[in-house]
Amino acid sequence: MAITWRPVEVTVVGFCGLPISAAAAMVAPVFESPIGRYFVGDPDSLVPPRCFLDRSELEQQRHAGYLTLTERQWARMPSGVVLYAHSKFMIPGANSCNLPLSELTPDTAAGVHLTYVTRAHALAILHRWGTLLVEDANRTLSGRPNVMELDRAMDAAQRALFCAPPPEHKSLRVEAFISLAASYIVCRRPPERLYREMKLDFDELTISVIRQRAEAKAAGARAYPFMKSRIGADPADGKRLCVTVSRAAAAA
Amino acid sequence: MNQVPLVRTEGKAFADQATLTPERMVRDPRLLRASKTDGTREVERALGLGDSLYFYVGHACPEFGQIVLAYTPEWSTSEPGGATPFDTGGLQLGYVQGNGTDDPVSYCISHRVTLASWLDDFTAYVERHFSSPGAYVLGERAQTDDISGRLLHPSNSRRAWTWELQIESDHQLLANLKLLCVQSELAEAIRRELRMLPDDEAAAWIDLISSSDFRVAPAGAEAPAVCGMAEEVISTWL
Repeated sequence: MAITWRPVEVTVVGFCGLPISAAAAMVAPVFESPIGRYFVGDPDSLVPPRCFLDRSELEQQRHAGYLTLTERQWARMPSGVVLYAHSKFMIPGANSCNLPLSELTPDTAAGVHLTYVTRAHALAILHRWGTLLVEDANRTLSGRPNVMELDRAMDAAQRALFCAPPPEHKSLRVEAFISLAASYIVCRRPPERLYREMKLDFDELTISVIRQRAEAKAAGARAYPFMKSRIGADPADGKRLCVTVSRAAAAA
Repeated sequence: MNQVPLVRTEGKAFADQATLTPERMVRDPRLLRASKTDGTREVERALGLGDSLYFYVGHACPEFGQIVLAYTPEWSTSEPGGATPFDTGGLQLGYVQGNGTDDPVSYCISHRVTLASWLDDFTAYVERHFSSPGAYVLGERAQTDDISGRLLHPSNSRRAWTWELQIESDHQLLANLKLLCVQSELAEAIRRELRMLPDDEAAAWIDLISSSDFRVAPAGAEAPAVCGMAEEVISTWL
């Protein structure tokens, strides 16, 4: 049966569902076409959407939280998604790794920062954010982090996971989990539950690689343990041998 | 053959607050009768129903949110409440058509069964009117009409033939849970919440999300996709 439901001009007026606090995500758009008729789904599909809404029905759906309407509207593009980020995700606090807001626009109606881009573009933005977060976590772990810095590393690694949806950004997700597991080990929090959780995303081999690299990274975070400054007692077989070490450069 | 599960779709907002957020799912995992609109309370008053928690049998309705919870049905038979072979809200609001639906109170009374007997009544209903339990779960129309002409009425849609349970008690979210389907960002938020919980409090959740009972829709999927995914999974059980 020939179906002629497909409209010519389609506008994006919002997205499905409610934004989640302190999260970032790609979500499906809500469309308007022609003016006053709204729907969700794929405008290129041969099959028409299950239902079309008029303005009052749209407002009812917004009020009920089925969808979020945005202040800004965009012309529809193929494979477009709305990318949103909650302000607590972008700028959680002074002691956290804050992300640049320049790529998104604040939207008071939706209560988040957002943009409408192709899926590939949204994934690229998420990858950039995720990389920044993982690098920040790793930088923190490569020093000798105190408790506050470990919190920062853990927060950055967990936020990076929002930027690495499986399967699209699997390697970024691996890196984020390595940083997170290393943070757990450094702060003496058992990481076993984390490895179990990873089964949702990875096979056993990948998890074992994550485990090895997390342990190595955690060891690196404690590479320079405090030295005891006092000389110990003599060994049982005689007097302690004392060796004087001088710098080669100084000797030269 | 497995029983058709009880399904509840959550995440809708009432009074500008979502009924079930990731934080609440993990920290206070209860399904509450209080999570309903004034409209639903009005329907309860009009039809003489008690203060109820609502489940559809085998139908993940996308109009109630993006979190799909499916439960084994047996526990419901010992709960207070009742069951109807249609959506009571739809009946009261005039969306369910058939002989006698213009008097929704008496129509509801004549079709409502006790929770103690609903499983047998539902099984007989599906056998009598549908090609298979899977066809019912996937939203196909009945093959034979009922005595009031409701099942094949051309104006009716799925909620006119989907069974609804009105359970007059709150329910622990994880008790008898057989399937949880969510969007990817919600899954991520649930996992973040779980990492903050001590082992003993997180144990049941960790068991759930590590199992095949936890399904995550691809990033960017809209609510109907999550519900469709849940119904596809349920249909494979039957």
